[in-house]
Amino acid sequence: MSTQARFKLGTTTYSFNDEYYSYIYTLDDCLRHIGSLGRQQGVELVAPQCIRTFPRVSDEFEREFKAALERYDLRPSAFGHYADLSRISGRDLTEQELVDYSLLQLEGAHRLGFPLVRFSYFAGDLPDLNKALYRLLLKDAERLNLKLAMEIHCPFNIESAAQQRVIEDVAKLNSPFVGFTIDCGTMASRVSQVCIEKFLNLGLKLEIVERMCEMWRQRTPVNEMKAEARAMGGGELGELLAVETNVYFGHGAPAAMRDMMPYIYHVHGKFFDMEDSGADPSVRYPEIVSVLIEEGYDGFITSEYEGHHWLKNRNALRQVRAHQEMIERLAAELTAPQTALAQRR
Amino acid sequence: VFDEDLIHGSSIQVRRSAERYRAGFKLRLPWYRSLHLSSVERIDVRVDGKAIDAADVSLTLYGKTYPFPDLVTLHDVLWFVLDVAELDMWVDAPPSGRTCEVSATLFIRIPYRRSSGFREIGMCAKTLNVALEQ
Repeated sequence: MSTQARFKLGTTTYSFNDEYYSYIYTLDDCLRHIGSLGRQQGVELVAPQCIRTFPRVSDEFEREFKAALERYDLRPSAFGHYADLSRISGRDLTEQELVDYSLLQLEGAHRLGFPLVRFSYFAGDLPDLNKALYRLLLKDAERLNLKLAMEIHCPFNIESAAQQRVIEDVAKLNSPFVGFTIDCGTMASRVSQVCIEKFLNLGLKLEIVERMCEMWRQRTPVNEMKAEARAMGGGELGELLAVETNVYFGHGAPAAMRDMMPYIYHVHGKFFDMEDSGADPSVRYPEIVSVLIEEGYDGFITSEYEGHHWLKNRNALRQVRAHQEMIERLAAELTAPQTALAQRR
Repeated sequence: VFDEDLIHGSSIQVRRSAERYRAGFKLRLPWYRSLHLSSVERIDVRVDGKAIDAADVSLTLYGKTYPFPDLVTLHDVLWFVLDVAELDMWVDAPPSGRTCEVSATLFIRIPYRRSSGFREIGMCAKTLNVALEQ
């Protein structure tokens, strides 16, 4: 077991969704602000958010992005890939269409200097593992020296049966080019206050909000929660809260990462609302950081602020900075006693 | 969903065209990332409370105008998230006041999952200044 934090910190452009969408930040502003967080900060690019020619990467984008990496002392950490399985109306993409669409993105990621793509593919969409997209693209990933890091995101978590099936397949494949991105939102301890606040602002009664949070804690199936919200008079808004608690806040245990650590290539440091105390009480970060350090995780923890989904009155940069300070503080608390002990010896 | 800016800008342009009028305002994709037009499934528009027939609505993006119901066939045209489209519709008469109430509800299909039934709905209502071209 390692006693030193070996992971690196980074940020995704997703954290700045609101500022970017609202024309407050350009992409260059986002990159500049990410660079202001510390030396050699990792940057994850949500490709169809940032690249006008998506799924292709233009020469012009490549030139500008690489110049920005240098200007702001950034390291490319992850390229946000999208499989967009049902992009064509009325049917799913064929195997060849899926490969073609993803391959353009992989080639773009390689040209931009990324070592890894956050691979967007849900465990529930893999009926035939022999034809899984990561197998179809494996030769290309090897050729381009790119890790395909499939995202584990709510409503799935590591322990989900569908996800376990894929994890077993990836372990069997045993390739340094196929693994996972863990989204920390799958390991939540409670429904975030920012979500609660939004639904109260929209006029949902406090007793319904509290009841939904209680049912979430009890891991009630989402259909039962929706029925209860309806029965309590919460209408569509109540049902939406029931759905959102399940889509954004997972019941996974951080300890479940231990068994699959060789295949964890990337971590999405999902968070919702950093409090003035310096903590996000809705994600189990003390345990998450502890497991990552003990297991010697050496990839990026990419801060992914998502509070903007509910409320747009927070400052994303301040939120991200507070998130990274929390990770560093937790890491220091976990490693300091061992370091002190080692120094005494 | 970024509802607030679905109807972009503050004016509705109205001009006479033969026996009817064309009215248009600016529209944005209310999602954090770009999507292909095949994800833009339906729009319900009301001008001063009157529902506009979907067959009378068209969208102009990158210099090309598409009847709204045709958008779902355009899976290779990416609507970049920062770009503004023009929504145009036929109306029988121009709005009577200097301002009018416009509402738009946009149904977008999110293509992440197999046989995706995942949809997001953007809703926006605004008072727009009427710019009547003679």
